[in-house]
Amino acid sequence: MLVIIRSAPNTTEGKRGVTLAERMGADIVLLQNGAYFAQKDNLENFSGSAFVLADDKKLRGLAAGDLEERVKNIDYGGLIDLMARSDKVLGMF
Amino acid sequence: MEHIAMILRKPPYGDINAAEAVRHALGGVSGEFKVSLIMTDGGALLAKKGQDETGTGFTNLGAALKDCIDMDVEVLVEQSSLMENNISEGDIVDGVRVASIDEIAQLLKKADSTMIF
Repeated sequence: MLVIIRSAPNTTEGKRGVTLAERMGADIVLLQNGAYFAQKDNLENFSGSAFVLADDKKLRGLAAGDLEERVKNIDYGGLIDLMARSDKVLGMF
Repeated sequence: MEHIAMILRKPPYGDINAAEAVRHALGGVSGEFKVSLIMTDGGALLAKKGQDETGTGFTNLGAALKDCIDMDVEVLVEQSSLMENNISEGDIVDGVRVASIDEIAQLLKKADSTMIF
């Protein structure tokens, strides 16, 4: 299961999406302002797999050094593959 | 029977999200779907009892929520969202069930599809 997060970490929507993903045992993909979740310490309580759209990360000046290593970079093609492979996609938060 | 979950995150009357969520829930349940309407964050304010639209021109969404319940929509409000919005469990529309985030997460896993408002 995959949850799409597009809201920033300081928003109710963004926190709600990550919390639900954690409780459902789902993975998350970070788009738009959701890319800020990839910064260090923003995903402390999240144990699933996390992906971030490289374009949205680059656009926001998020350098590799600022980010959690376990958050994997994907491009748009990778996003489509991820969604196609998931049995259920929930979003966007 | 297909099961649709609808998550409402926005407070009523401020924008169209709450009205649309209620409208879609009523539409879904009359279209032979099993519908769960889940209120979280600001959406919990829709569950508040005593909404009075007289003189405002607005549709009373509290009454519309009651219609959903009468038509067997499963209506849930997320527990911590009630507290965050200072609503006591005794001050919600009759028939709305208070649920934990874990219960909601399991419900979403089982639902065939989910709409987010």
